[in-house]
Amino acid sequence: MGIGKQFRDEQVRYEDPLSGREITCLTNWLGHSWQFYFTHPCWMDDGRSFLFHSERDNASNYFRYELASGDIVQLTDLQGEEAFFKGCLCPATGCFYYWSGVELHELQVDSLRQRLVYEVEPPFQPDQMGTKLNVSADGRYLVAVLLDVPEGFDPLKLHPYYTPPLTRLARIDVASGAMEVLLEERRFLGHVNTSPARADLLTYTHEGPISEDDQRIHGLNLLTGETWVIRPQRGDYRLVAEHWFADGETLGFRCHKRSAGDTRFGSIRFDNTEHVETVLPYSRHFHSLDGSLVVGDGTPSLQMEKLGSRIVTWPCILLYPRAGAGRGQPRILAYHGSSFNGQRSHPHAHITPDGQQVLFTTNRRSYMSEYSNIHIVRIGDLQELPTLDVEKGVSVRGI
Amino acid sequence: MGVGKEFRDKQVRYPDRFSGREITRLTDWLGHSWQFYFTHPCWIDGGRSFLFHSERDNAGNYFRYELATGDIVQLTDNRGEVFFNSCLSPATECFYHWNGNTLHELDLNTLAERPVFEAEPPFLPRGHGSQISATADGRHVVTILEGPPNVDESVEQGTGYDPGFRSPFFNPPLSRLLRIDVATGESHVLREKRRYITHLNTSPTRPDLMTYCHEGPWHLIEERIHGLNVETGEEWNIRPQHGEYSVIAEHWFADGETIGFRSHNRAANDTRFGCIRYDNSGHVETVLPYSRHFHSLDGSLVVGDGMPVYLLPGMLNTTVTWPFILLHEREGPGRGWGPARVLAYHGSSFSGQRCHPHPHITPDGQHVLFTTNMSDYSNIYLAPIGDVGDLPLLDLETGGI
Repeated sequence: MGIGKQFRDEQVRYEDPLSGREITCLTNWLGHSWQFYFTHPCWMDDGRSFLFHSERDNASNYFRYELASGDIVQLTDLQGEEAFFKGCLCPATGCFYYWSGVELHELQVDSLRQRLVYEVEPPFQPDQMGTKLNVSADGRYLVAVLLDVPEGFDPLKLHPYYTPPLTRLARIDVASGAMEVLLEERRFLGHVNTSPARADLLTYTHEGPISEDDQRIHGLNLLTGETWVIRPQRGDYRLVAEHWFADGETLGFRCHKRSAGDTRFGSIRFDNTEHVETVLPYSRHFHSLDGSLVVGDGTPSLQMEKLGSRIVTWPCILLYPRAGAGRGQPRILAYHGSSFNGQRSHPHAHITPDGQQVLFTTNRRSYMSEYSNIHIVRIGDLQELPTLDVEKGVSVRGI
Repeated sequence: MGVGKEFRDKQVRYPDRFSGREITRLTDWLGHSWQFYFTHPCWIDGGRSFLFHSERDNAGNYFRYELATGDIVQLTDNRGEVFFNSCLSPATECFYHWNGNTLHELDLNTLAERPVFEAEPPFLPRGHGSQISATADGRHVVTILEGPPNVDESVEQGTGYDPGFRSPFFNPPLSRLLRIDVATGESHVLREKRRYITHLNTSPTRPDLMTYCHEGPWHLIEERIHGLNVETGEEWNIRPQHGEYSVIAEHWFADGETIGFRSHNRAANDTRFGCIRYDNSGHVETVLPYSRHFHSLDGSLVVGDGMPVYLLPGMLNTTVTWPFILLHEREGPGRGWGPARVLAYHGSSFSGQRCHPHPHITPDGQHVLFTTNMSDYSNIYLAPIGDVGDLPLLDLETGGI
């Protein structure tokens, strides 16, 4: 059994070449290690440890990391299936929930005690494409996306938006395993995000290709079943990467005005009040704890559009401080150099719950042999950090 | 001991969505597997097996792959990285690799290993890659040993891409090019100069011939390819650049007397494939759509690896890329090469040497072997060439077909 297997990854510290901040590369293994998506809490033990994904011993599993020592404990023993954003931690109870096949398991992270919570019955099966399992703030309910998959359904060949399976949003009572269908429709749903503070609130999304999605963010009261649209798009905007602020009532998100081709970070309360958006230099993902400071992950690190021509890129962890009603120039906290090819290498940067550090993932090649690894950097005084020049971007040297 | 450890990777077959060719993904492991650089032979046993790099059990090592079954045997037992710093001698089916400062010979049929040569400080193998090669008769190995570089206080760090890396071109080590007799371990210094030297390519047919290169940023290299007679020590430039061209990725054709290469006219900023005999006769070059690397067995057909898979220089901007394995047929004897045809989508991010496709045409001319990380890990793939005229043409406007 791999559960409980221990590792100790050497922590490598280095000075960031752009900001001068000391970066600590936390993981160190010849296989990818990558953090949770920023919608899903990973921190426990009051910020002393976090859960993450890693691929070791030719298997894909979940692990717990001790920040002080680099000690790692394996939490799952999945074989032949991917640990790929298909688990969720309940900070209220210290339990971790994950799918293994059609079984939904609970793992008490401290004791490593495990039990089966729920088993999906045919014709439905869990949607394991990522971030589709979450737990209510009080730890009482799990919410999961279940699919009745038609024969020949292959999401890798054709986006499921075009041939959506019958999809259920299921609420599962953690104590009893009783399941109740909150929603059932023939539509491709994604990103089940429960409020971290309010046990009744969650959001889910209508997923689709960039050009097609209609109205992405939907609020849902998981006690009453009431649903509503959040941040109406009216055909003019695209929304992406919504996440709850720490207050559990405000959402942050990335936004693009289709006609302008711009990039914005915005926030809005679940009831559509207090809507704010600011045009910012592009980041693939933004995250904020409370709107006062936003972290972004910039752009991919390369490439050669044509030999000899230079592309302006900013493959950096950026901080966007609030300035009046909008935001000031982004500051460079760290060079990440991610190639962004595949979700395992996306930085998915987030500000840690204490507001003091940023955790990010990258597959930069300098230190760790082209594998994704998890890094941490102190935020410190923003005034010390260099500002991003979007005309010049970041010089990319290669031969 | 990991030497001799067996694996069997599942082979996965699928039709390429652009060309329709049946592609076989040969390796399948949650760690990178990648092929040899196309200058270095990897095939043995009449094309039934090949050697490759892989990172398994948290260690980088060399392995042998049986094409028919996916059976894999581990050949080395290193603990750190292995990185293009070894060579196969097809003549003897022995494999030479550094373990620390010791050059080892591994008999691939018996897995018997013996030390051949011990490097002594200050001249040591530095593992820069492609700095070792075996002569065509299997009698000698040529390699580069480097003295320690000078401490360079003028180095400007913070360029972004890789703060730990600055080409040794700017602060070159004293490099020794050695010829080592594999039977006796006796070594002979062929060259010694303060230069960053890589890509030691021995002719696959002529034991006396090799090339090496002056490595560094392409636009700063005045003459990259140097021919060397390892028996007489005679040296000469191959494909003189005259300050107008950059030359890269040179490799021997199967005849062992002709060299293929990529070049760029610096003023025009174009991309060319060319070939030339070691004595600078028979020089041909053709402007082709960009590929990072080109390879050819005999000039009749050239394989290229196109462009990285994407990316977004600015939101909603479109970047034209062609992340394909491309084939270019020769347009006639003594002439150049025609338009690009798409053999396979590779989708590599090119973010590091382990995921570069480095495609080569197999020695029988029937397949292309390439590497890509499109599954998030680098794996090795095989594509049948078939009738090139059947393959779709690359559309340079859209990067598609």
